[in-house]
Amino acid sequence: MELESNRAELGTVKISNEVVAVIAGLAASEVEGVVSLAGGIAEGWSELLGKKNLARGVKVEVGEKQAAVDLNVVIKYGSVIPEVCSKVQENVKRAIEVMTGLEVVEVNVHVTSVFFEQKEPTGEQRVK
Amino acid sequence: MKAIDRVVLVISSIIIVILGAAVLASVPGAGRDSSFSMAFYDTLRENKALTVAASVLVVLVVLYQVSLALRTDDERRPIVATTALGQVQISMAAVESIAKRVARSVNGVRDVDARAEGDASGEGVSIQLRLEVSADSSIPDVVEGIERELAATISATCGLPLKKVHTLVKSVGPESSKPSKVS
Repeated sequence: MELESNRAELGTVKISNEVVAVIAGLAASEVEGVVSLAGGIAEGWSELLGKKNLARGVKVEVGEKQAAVDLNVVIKYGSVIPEVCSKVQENVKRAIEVMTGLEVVEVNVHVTSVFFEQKEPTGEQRVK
Repeated sequence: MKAIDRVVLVISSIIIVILGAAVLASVPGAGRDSSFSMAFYDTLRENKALTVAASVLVVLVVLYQVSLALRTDDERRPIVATTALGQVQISMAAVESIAKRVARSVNGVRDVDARAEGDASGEGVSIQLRLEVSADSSIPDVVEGIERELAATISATCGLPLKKVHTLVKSVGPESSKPSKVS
């Protein structure tokens, strides 16, 4: 489905779902603590075939004036997950509303996995 | 593993054994002719219905196995928190990876496997751990350390209290840091 604005004098503006998904994906990636967005198997295959997918891990539902977003994210270990997710929700909502004019009614964030930046501590460094 | 998965696995194993045996028996060698393979293919040609049924079964088994390989294992309910802007879900796989990392950081833990389950009320999380500890460690101290670290980390990172930790010490490995035998 595509959002279509009617502007009688100048024509119409269409914003595809994929554009909204890309905006959401980029906005989510900007948040500190988000390592990446986690896509499904199909998205993984398409990336292997060389198709860069900026909407990876993002599902959007776009109506005439409203949008709802579902995101699958990978969070950096050590981050406070509810805090990061809350920032993701706010950032995604703001980005979509500013760039498309749609009202974002829901941003659901699904933390699929945790990314460990450093190697596991060695025996000498372990907590006692 | 589900019962259906086991059944399909057994059927596929039997198919592989039968096909493997048929292929081996078909290979002509010293003192052997290819009469078996000819008889085998004649039998297949004569029993078309059976051949088609067997082929369909093989295709179905292969498709099921492929779908099994591609299926995500985590069908458990995630931790769900509702905010003003929607829902935040934390998968159990994410909680488990945090739990493993935390448990491994405790002195005396050699290896760990974790399984997380959300509380029925949705207000906490329970973790089951299977540990391998080093021989020079005190198990109560290790377990206490893990529980303390886990409670602090899970509550800090996931925003939910750790309700229960069930720990099974399944094995004891070599000492983590042996003193040198030579001076």
